[in-house]
Amino acid sequence: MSLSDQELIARVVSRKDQHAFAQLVLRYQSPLRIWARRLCNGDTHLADDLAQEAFMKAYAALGAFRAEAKFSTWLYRIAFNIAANRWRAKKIEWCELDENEEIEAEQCSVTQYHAQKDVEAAMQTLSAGQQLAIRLCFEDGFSHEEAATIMGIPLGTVKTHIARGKQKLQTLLASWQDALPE
Amino acid sequence: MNDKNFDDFLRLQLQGSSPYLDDGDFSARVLASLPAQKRLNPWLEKLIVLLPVTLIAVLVLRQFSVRELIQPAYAWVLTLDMHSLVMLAVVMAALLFIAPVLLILKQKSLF
Repeated sequence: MSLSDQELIARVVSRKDQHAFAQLVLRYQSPLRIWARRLCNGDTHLADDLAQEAFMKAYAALGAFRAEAKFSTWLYRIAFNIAANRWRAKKIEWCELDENEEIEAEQCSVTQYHAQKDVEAAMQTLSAGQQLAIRLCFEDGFSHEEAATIMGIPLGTVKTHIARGKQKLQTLLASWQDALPE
Repeated sequence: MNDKNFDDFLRLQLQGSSPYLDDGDFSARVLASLPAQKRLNPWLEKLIVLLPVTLIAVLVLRQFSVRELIQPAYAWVLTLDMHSLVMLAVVMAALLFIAPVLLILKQKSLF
């Protein structure tokens, strides 16, 4: 029987149980490393370093974790803060989250056979903030509020990113319209 | 494509394109980088084992009278001849010497 996040966290906090923390690492290593790759523009080595640092900081600060938020939200937020500090130190490239400028999409119709490839291609045309917000909510299943917490931006900005991003995606993926049920 | 359908479509495609990253040695590296767990004082560790063992032994011994335990042993010693007594003394002395030597050798072999 696998223990819940809360039970594992309680063990780590009360007994400094590193085996319990290992369970948490195993549970979240894949989504956190994927999240870190997004933050590091796909650089896998840099992303793994970032994810490792995030887990270490989480271990050190686990006593301060309040169960008001999900553990994953808190973990993603730590990774985001580390990345933000690196961006400020210019160790990795980044774009402003609040930027309004979007990459001008070529007005080509996206008519490739595989929907996933089309969606990925369309995603690349969005701004960094739009991509992160959409991926957090649609790929990782976070709510808008959780995405705002993770990205450290107002809820309204997240909603704007998602609305504008979706609008653009809908235009680019219009060729899939017929394939979907009404 | 209405908004709800598009949301479902987008969710399905993005979740479908998200791979599971094999752990490899990632978790091991994270755990290796954590601060070492504090170990108890070795004497405290021994005390934790010895204290309950001693207590249980005392409780068991209390069930017998001291005379019942000592008298047969004393009687046995009295019946021994000089040669056996010397042998017994030599064996006990050897044990007292060998036990700590073995203990030290065992600890050295751990490093």
